Amino acid sequence: MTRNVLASWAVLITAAVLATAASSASADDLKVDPMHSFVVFSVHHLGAGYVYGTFAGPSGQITYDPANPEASSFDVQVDVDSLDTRNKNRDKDLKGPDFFNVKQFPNMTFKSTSVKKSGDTTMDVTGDLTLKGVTKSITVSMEMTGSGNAMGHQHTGFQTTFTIKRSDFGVSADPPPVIGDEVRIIVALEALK
Amino acid sequence: MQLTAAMAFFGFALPAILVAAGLILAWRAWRGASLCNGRWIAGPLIAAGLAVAFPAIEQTHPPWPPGNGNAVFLIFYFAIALGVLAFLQDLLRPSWWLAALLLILICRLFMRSILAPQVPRLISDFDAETWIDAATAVALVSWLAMQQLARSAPGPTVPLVLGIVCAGWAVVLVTWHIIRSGELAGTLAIMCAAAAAISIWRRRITLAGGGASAIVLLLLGLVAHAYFYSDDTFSPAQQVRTVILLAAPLLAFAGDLPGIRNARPGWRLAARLVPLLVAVGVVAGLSAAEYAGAPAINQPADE
Repeated sequence: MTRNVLASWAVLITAAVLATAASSASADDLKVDPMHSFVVFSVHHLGAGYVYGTFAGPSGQITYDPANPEASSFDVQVDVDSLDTRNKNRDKDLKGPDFFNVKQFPNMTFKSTSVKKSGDTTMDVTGDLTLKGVTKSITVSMEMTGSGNAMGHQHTGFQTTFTIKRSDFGVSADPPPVIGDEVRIIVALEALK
Repeated sequence: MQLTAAMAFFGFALPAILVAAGLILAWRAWRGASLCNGRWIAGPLIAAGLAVAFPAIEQTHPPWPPGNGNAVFLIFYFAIALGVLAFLQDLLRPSWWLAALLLILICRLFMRSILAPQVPRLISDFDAETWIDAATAVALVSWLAMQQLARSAPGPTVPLVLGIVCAGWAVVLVTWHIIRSGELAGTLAIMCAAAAAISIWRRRITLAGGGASAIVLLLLGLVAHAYFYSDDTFSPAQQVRTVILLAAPLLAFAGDLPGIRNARPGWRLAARLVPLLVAVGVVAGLSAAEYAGAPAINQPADE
């Protein structure tokens, strides 16, 4: 009788340990590859055309569990000083205190607080976006765009497109119609395991 | 940057009206020869004018109480503090060395606050202290110069000198890619112009004392903030022009040179203002030309 009870407990404990190991093993800790990740933004100018710009190589950590997307997390940083709109004077204006104030706020960050599965490869990611010292909660639709192997690393891709109001973050110089308040941002990340 | 009607009124016209009306009322300017001593109003008026202009030009209201916000908000907070201190200075009339000591303490606190977000990430503690010492020396020399100028040339000289210098800095700050700081320097220039106009009408009305202190410290704060927060990499030529513009107020003492000292007041005023206008004009003109002629497309190799 005692031997049977002990055996049962052993099986139960072993199963619990294996289940825990399995669930943590399916969640991948990925490091964002700055060389293959991009941030592109566009904003309406004078109510006419769109001005585009980029930020170079975002960095950060992603935890991704395809079997359980709710356990995923995104922690991404962007160096605002890398801003490039292909115009020297415009870039200096944008990096100065009138717009991004890069010397005081050098980074833009996004830290997820919750993830909800919305499709086979899409997730609604809610998180805190911090820009120019102001933090706002936003929700973006993130798509896992695929994975591949190279040089001994597994590469996983994610992409999202979302819109923010720059005035919400204190980037309020040259209000509409000179420069639109809404900024469309495309983030394409490739992360390595 | 587009100048809206609201910005033009609240950022420039209203501060000038405030200064002119305040000086007239405080000095009872309509009484002609029997003016009251309204010296105490100058500092608070300058501070109030800048505080009114700030939200219109920066297009945001500084948080209250002060938090961990943009360093430029310090200009607003210090404007209020300077207004109060200038009022007390003119009311209590401390000895000059006590007033100078107060100026030094306020300037050091102001500069330290502006530099704090960058230490030690971008500037070492030692370099920050060196810059604070240098800024304080400039503030002290400028303030002493304006006090002496007010004694030797009462009337519109001090507001005209400060107005020309502020206008020059307004142009230069725009070329440093900080247009809003340039506009705030423009606000200071317009307030000085308003004070000069009243002073031409009633010569006893002066910006000396608290008014000059407020303008010197606020202008220095704008310049320091722009210098340390601009994305510009300052060439040797830009740095030389900066030094020239900081020293330019001393050119007003040309009116005290032998030969000119005993000339008619109009010639003496011209002797004070013409060298200053030339120096400020050349610096502002060269800065504007360099800014306008900068290459448009990013140069990939030498960025």
